[in-house]
Amino acid sequence: MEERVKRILRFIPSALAGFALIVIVSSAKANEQEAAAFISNLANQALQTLGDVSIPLEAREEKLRVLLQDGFAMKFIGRYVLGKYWKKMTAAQQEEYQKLFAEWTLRTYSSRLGGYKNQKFTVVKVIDNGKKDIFVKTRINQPGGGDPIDCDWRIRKVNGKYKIVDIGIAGISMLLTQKREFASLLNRNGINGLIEMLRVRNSKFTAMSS
Amino acid sequence: MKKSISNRTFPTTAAAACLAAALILSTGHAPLADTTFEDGYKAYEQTDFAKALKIWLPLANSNNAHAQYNLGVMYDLGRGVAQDKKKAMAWWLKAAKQDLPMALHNLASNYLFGVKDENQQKKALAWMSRAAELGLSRSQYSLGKMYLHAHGVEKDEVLARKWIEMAAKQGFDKAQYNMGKLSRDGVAGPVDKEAAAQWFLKAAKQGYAKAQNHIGKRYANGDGIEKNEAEALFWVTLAAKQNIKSAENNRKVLVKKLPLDEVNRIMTRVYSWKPEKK
Repeated sequence: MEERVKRILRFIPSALAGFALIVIVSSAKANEQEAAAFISNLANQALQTLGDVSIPLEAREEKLRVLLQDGFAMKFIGRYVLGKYWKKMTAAQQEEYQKLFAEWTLRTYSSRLGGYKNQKFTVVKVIDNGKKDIFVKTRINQPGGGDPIDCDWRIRKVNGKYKIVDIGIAGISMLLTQKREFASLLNRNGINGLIEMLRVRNSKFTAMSS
Repeated sequence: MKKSISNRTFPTTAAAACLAAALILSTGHAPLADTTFEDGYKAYEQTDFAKALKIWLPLANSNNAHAQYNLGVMYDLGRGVAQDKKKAMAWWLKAAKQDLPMALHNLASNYLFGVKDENQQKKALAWMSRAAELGLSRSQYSLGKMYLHAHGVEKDEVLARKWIEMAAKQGFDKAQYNMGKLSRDGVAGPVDKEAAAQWFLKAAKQGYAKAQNHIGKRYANGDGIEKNEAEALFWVTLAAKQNIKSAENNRKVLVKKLPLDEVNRIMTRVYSWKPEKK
């Protein structure tokens, strides 16, 4: 009798550990599914918005930028890439910068969600290593056999909602690249120079009709 | 006779065939027969970038500035082609050499602030200046801001005001808002609060959030425009809807001052309001 109790007692810790492992694995699995669904949902928004050919493409893209904005932790990204310069800005400069930076980021990266004719968007892999962020690897196959467009979305739960916190292109982080580029520009042209650069880059014209 | 005709025509036909083959080989795309620039634009609008590319590439190669410009856009954004900023710049440069304003503007936009090389900065300034001279309001505004803040040029408030005013008169909302500030502060001209208010109002009517907040404050204080708190609430509410933080504070103050039925009437106006088209 005593021996049986001992055997049961010996079994409990490993059973608990096994149970905990199952909980962690299934929770990670659930997180991965949620993360994949989050990115797929953004891609679907792109597909639906860009597919509505009743309005001009430029207007569709502008509409998409507004829709996608909520999917990005834009304030966090904007502050991060400025580093120490953020605190040197006035409140008005911060507001202006964040608005221009958000527009520029979406102009630059929203096409990585596809939605253009005959493009096929797929979630290739989701990696949740149990830390703060989940990585969603996506691929867009191009019509006519052009090179596929790959992208890594680094996402994080912010106030219970998934948000994109970084974008990786060919293994290179957008956050770090921008931080370096902005630091160099801030040294040369100051805060107003950076704001002006973003304003000018956002002002580029798209394709013309005739 | 037949033979001699054949002998005479062969070299020409062969040359044409070789040229066509070389074009196909060099581009990887067979040109589409019986298509126009506009067909390319239709395809582009429908996001069929592969088709747009097939139509525009032969045109661009035969020095059509519009097609060259559009190919620049495609390479700049990676549409139907792998993104390649250098190729984008090369196509825009070809179109810019033909004085196409949008190509000059985009070319300058990619270079300004982005390069350390002073010669490149000078080129960028020359391109932006040329686009402004050709009447492009976005370029006039950008150039004005560069002179105003001494970015890539020596500070020149007179030139700044000249270019910003030209863009504002063409109806460019950001330029109108900036004319409001220049008139308010008396930059390269007298302090003129009435003119400032009118410029802010013009930009506000186009939906420019910061201008809506500015004109709202001026209506609230009777600053350069007759005092009207109802109009003030209308404009600051529109600005607050576009996430201008101080507009929300201004709105709260005005809501407390006005009777409830007046506030409700303004809210109805706010929700049915649409910006004027440029």
